[in-house]
Amino acid sequence: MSEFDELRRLRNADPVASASVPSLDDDEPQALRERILMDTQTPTTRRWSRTVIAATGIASVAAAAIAFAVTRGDDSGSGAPITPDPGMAMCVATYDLGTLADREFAFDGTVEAVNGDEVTFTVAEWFRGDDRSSVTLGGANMFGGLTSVGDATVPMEPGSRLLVAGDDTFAWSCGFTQIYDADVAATWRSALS
Amino acid sequence: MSETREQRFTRLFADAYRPLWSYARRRVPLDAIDDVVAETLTIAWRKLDAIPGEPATLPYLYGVAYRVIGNSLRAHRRHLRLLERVHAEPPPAPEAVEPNDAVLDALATLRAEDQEVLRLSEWEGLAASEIATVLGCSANAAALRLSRARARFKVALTGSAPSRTSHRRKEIDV
Repeated sequence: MSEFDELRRLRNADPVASASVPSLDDDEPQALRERILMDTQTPTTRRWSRTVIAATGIASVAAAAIAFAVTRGDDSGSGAPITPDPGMAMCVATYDLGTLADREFAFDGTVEAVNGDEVTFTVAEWFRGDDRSSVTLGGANMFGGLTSVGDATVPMEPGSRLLVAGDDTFAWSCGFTQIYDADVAATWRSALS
Repeated sequence: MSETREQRFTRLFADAYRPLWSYARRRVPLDAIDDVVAETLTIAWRKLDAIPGEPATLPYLYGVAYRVIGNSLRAHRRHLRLLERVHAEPPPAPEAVEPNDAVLDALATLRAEDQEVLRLSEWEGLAASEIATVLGCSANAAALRLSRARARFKVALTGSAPSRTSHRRKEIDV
């Protein structure tokens, strides 16, 4: 059997080959498109807000709703602090140890640099998710773009030591990112082990 | 006349819905397909300005779906671990995507990364450069991953390694 036969067999095993792919005219796709077009959580150029779809009852689908907004101090990428606009921030996901335990990553880190939409952290300890000494969250090419910030008392400026938790490439606000505290760090370490 | 956001998204939706449904169908249980597609297209609507034009649009959206599914699987595993702790008994077996046969069984023995590049190549029909867009790596890295995944799949399916010389491509020693 040539090495291409295996690939041909793999192609023939495509699950969609025998499946019925919905037509665009079916009710479900039509309804989905209308629901999405009614979604008003679209980004603007200076002030961002982001909402992830709330989890359904299906355990295999993961997302918790969260919205946050950031107002940038300046656009120069000089490291000026990013401070949130409390008036825009809404915590759809309530921070507690249970929702913290659902996060993909969490770490104890210090803001190293703020550059446009990206925040780079030097990581002292990963509670979950990775083992790199440095991580950058947000970024123009990443989905969502901008990191979240916490409440008004959590400045995202170089030198700030924070406890940071989130999913994918986003740090979550509303308690999931907060000023470092040794006791809280111990609690996170236990909850995320 | 320039296109409105709604018009642009409607056009994207028409082009991408069925391919994204198929992408999800190949990777998640039947009852999760609609949620994966919905979340992917919602992200696309919110990030519409960042989505590249054709022909990179669909690989980009596959990349969004890839991460949506990854997040879902991680949460599902955490849920199963929680069930184990709470009930102290084995969790229910996950729903099978397809009836098992030798090919799908062999595919399932590979690492997740190998499975994904093979699916993207052989089922979505993507070139290495497009796979790179989905996975967020260079085209060279995607090509190398694909080459290695094919070799591993052959071993998994037949038990024999591919020949080191091939008229189709040159083996790369690293």
